[in-house]
Amino acid sequence: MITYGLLIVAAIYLLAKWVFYHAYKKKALTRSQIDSALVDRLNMAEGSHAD
Amino acid sequence: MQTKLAVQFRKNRRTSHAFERLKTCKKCGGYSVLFDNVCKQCGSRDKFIPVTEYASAMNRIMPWAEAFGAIALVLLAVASAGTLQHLAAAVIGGAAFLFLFFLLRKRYKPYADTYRLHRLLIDHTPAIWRGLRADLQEAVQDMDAAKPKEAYEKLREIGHFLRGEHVKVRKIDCLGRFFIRKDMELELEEIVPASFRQDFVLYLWEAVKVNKRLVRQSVLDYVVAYRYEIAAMEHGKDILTLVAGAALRMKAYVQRYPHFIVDYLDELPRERFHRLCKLMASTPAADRGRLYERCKELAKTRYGFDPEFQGLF
Repeated sequence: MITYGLLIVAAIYLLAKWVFYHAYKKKALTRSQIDSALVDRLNMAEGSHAD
Repeated sequence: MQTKLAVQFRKNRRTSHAFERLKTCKKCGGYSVLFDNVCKQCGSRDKFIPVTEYASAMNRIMPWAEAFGAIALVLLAVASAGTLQHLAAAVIGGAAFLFLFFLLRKRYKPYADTYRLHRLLIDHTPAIWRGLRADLQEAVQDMDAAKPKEAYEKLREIGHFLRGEHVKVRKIDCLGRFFIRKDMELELEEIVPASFRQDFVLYLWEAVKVNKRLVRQSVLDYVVAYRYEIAAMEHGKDILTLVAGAALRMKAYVQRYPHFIVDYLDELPRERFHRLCKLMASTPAADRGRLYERCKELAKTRYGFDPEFQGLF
């Protein structure tokens, strides 16, 4: 029974992995978007700490 | 008045994206964008690696960890098989699982790698910001120590990330201390301030004199917005004429700023005016306005004798 249990766990893991990968693909960012997002976050942080 | 300095800037690194300039300390996780190899946070020497290299290492390690987990799961299933039927199920099921697991990973690898890089930069944003603040502090110390070249080179690197007024103003302050030459790698669009600044306009004048390509839309928007303040400056008209002449580089700018250009037509050098006339001559009749009429009139009265202007209109 443990064998079947482990195989079921493996199947669920595979399914979860596919869901995550699919989500990555769906919201796939280009390197330019990642770059702009970083610059925006840094400038927001800078703005909130402006002296 | 401060004496201007003749300087040779350090060669600017070319990167496709700003984050490629970031380097992280392997020992303490601190960040920097400057050139020295000593970590300001922990004092370690030669411990910096580019953040892209760090992300690549993560992208190598994480899949291996996952693969070991998957293989361990299959081996556990095989080891726990009590009967031959269970063993067969474990072997076949495990093989199918591993095949699908590696297939899935191969197919989605580029997306997973990009996502991990994005997550890494999100999680490390506070550390990156602290590193940039420390770099900025160093640049300010250089300015205070009358080392404008060193300060500017640091600010130029920091400016790829922090684009606030305080960075721009410091850059303008430094640039105002140098003799501007054609062989320098100059920036203009990146340092356009939010309000009128005489020192920026003076730098703009020097920079556009040596490189007209620096005049882009944000620069033109600034000049048009503060044209009366600039006109009131010494050499104000020369500056505005120079910028109007540089705007003729692109037809889109001529179409966007005709009211600005038309006011400096009389002062434009012959070569610039000829370029404008050529642009105007190719303008469809429906889009012709005051600028076209003024060009036509001026070409006739001032350059009527010049063969290059004949038959343009």
